[in-house]
Amino acid sequence: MVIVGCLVFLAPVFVMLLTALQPNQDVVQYGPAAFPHQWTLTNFSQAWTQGSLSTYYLNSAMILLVKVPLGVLLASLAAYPLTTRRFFGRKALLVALLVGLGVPQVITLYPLLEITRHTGLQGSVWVLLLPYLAFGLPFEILVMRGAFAGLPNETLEAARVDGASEWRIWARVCMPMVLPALASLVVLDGVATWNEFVIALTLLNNQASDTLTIGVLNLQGQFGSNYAQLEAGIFVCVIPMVILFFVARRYLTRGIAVGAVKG
Amino acid sequence: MAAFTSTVAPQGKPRLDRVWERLNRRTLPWLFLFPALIIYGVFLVGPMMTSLWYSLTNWSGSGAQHFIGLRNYESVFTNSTTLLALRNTGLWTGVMVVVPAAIGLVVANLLRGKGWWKGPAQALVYLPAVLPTIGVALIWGWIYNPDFGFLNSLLAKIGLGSLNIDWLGGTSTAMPALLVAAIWVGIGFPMVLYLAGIQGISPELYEAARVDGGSRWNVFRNVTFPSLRQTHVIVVALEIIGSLQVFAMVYALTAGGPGNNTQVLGTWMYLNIFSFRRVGYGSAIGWVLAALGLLVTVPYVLWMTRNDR
Repeated sequence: MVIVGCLVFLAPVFVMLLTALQPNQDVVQYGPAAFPHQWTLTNFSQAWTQGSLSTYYLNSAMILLVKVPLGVLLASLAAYPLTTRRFFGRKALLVALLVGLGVPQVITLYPLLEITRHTGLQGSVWVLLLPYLAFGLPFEILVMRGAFAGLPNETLEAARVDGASEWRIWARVCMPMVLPALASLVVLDGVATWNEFVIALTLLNNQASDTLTIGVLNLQGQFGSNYAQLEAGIFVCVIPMVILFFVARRYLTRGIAVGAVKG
Repeated sequence: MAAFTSTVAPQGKPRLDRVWERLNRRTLPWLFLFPALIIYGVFLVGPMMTSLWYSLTNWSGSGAQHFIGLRNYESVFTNSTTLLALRNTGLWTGVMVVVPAAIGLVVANLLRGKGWWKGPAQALVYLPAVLPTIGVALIWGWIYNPDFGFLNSLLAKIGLGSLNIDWLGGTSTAMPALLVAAIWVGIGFPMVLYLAGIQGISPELYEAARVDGGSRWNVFRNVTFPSLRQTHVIVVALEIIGSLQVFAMVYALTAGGPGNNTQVLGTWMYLNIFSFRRVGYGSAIGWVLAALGLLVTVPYVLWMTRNDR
């Protein structure tokens, strides 16, 4: 029962895969609901080369590799005093930072576009870095706050009595103790960054700087009615997330639980 | 963490040191916060406020910005397409708060506890949630394709070929078709939240219910559902926040069409600003959306930080 349910549920994925694995003329002739008459892998290689997917992959990977560690670092720094210290305006600041979760990205797009016009970064994938960092912070701080709040107070106190500076306590005491939360956050943030669409759609203005989500949209225009090749392209676009998902599933689901539930 | 504030300099330290220490204690939190605050302020709060200003002008993106007060907002609540987008956003939110959450809860309840197949089954249900929305949209676009798509091809197989529905092009089918795709992606997230919530329920409650000989349904109704009150709040709040921000799915599958039938506030705002060059008006639409979002997010964040001293 459950197996049948799962198969039906994942039918869209199978439809995509089966379409991608047969020649396009077969898809057109027999329709995608038919079992493939012949199998082929050429759609994938053609989608990869003709769709310039390697460029999109590289752009997405570059932004991911810089954005995620930097975002997690900034959020860990910010969440530390917000969780373990008392100072004037702390609670208001915490609320202000977390409220960013509910700000629709679309309302910031035009002003962001204007800012990028002044930075000279236009035409490069790096225009995404700072907006991505800004929109990532609320969730990252939420997760790091949950992680820091779970640390035993006595440990921090002991370190302070020993005369360790706050920087040292943050780096040597707190961060090593929240490694599981950090791992979850890196995975979740990686997924969100890889999948981001609307900011990239607005700020990127040429194919050479497009990320994979924009690239896959380009494929739709480019491959037109070559459905098999288009589906192969979509498959190539989503497969990193599928792999990551199976490798890091535990971190992913635990991160969501820590971020949203523990609060 | 009151103890920390009472940390005092060791006896006999020179006075200057103590002053320095106190100064340091004051500024230290801000040093930790500084980089995050700058980026958050310049690239999120700043643009947000700039668009609030635009929403009070009739700006087209170039030339002079004329302040016109609340006239854009007046037009938001009188323009029929904008009202349709508002209604569609409401419909989307209503459906997404109820359907994926309910399915997620049922699935979480089926897949809780021990069993070798439960972990993998949870994983498969969650899988669509990690795929890029745009990829998911295109997969469903292929399923709904009127000429060669899977759905019509399937209908033909079972002898209903004459129906041959243009799923995304028909005024009565487009919105439901979008929602089905969104629900498909959307089940995993509430399921994970509910699984985490269920894990927090004391096993003794289940044990007691079992001893009482409660049926599966009774256990669910009397133990599971009421114990998840906190999770319900989280799920509902996050679903509302997420639904208000819906963009990629609609943009890629229908771009708001046919006509403006599936227009939501996000896509309608985007079109106004980037296609019609009505930056002022588009920003006003955006701010209605933002206001709705903040109306939910602010109480939610306050509720989440309620134990924060």
